[in-house]
Amino acid sequence: MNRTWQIAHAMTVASLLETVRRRELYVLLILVVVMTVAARAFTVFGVTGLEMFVKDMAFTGVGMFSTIIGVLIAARQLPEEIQRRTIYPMLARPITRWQFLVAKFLAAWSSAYLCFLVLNLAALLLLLALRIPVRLIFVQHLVLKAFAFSWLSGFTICLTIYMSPGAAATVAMLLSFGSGVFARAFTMTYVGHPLLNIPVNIVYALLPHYSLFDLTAKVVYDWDPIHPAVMLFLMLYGVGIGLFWLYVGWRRFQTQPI
Amino acid sequence: MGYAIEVEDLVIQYTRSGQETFRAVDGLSFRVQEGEIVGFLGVNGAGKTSTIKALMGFQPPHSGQIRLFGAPVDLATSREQVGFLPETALYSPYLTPAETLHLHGALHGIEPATRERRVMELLAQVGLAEKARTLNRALSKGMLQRVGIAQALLSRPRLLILDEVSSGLDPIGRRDLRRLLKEEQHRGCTIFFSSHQLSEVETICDRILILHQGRLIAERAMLEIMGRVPSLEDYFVTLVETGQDLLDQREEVRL
Repeated sequence: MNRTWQIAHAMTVASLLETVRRRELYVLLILVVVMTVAARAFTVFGVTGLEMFVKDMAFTGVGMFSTIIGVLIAARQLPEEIQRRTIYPMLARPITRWQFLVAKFLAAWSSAYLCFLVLNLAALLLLLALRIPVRLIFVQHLVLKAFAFSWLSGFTICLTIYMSPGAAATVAMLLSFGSGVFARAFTMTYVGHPLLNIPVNIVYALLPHYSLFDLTAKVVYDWDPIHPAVMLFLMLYGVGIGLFWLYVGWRRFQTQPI
Repeated sequence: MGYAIEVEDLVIQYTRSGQETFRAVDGLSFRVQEGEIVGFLGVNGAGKTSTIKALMGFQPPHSGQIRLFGAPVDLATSREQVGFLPETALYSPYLTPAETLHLHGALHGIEPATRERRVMELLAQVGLAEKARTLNRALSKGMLQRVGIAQALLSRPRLLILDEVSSGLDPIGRRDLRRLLKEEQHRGCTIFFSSHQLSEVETICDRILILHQGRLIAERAMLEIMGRVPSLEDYFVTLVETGQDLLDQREEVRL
């Protein structure tokens, strides 16, 4: 286990350096600031009571951009190493493919979450500067999203093993942004067919439920913190489903010729 | 002394367009003794890279056995004493040579203090000390190849497997490489490498293996070749193009 952590730590440091040096994050940071300030600018025209609207713009932007960057980071973890041929000297080290995959997962997860935290910090500072308060549920929002990125990273890395990076990123983005819609539509299909109940529920459980981790609306509308038991369940679900998809990816990756 | 590499009846095949299979390596067997420098030669498509990929465990063989220092290659531990350089790897453009080597050192399990010392030592050895903190994307192809050579030597391996090692190197880089490989051999390292630079192979190898259409067609000590044929290039080209082994012909004439 120590060895796996050592490998994961090395990969994570490299991935964080890459994420910072690629400068995608800076572009998104500027966009979040512009969106928030533009929303606030309506006061110039005499519009009042814009706090909710400004918060909505800031946190919706952060949620959307961090999901996009999270998918992109995870989608390039394996394909870029293969394309650059750097996967060869890496796998030539005394490490197993499972250790390599777990390290890539943790690297993608931590890089995506770092981007999310930086964007949120910028949004928070901006809102505070504009004298718009944020309540305690914001902290829960930050914690829960860490587990959402576990699912997102595991799922996207798994997809890149079975399909091209472009296709993997498209499917991952579609399912992240549309997870709430797809999941609801799917449950409707078995109304009136009780025999399908069990298989449909199994498939439903395996379907991504990224939207469950999203507390953006509750942060915007100043809800009270959610129950700790719900938090705990979602955290376990995030880790479990992330590892499940990683395992599905490893089943193929372990014997895949490179 | 034992064997660093043992390959027995190796078959590697790929499936093309659904059902049609193609044998890239067909019943290859050879051994490399500890401390030897062995050149692995063949024209493009002969099966060299497929064999090297199988040696490193990247390509599961269709059949056959491969052992490194007696351990099967499907075990990660078999690679503990191996340094590997792939053909033209482009190291992460967003990392520096020093960071790249630190990453590889950590993946190998080298302790941070030893790693720090070893990284600086190797960068100086391959002539990249001044570029240690420059991003890889600003380095030339030859410089990236030097980063690759340094990463292969990082763990002080007992076996070096190098695929097209001199690719992208200028004449000075090639001279430095020859010196480096000789030093590694004196340290007791076994070196197995593929190259199209036959003059280089002639200078540093103890033995050569020639692969053609996936089969081993010649296995000769350099001492057998030197002075008996005009050059290794003549020997290689005649063998591959006509199937005639010039050394066998000379032995027949002498008889």
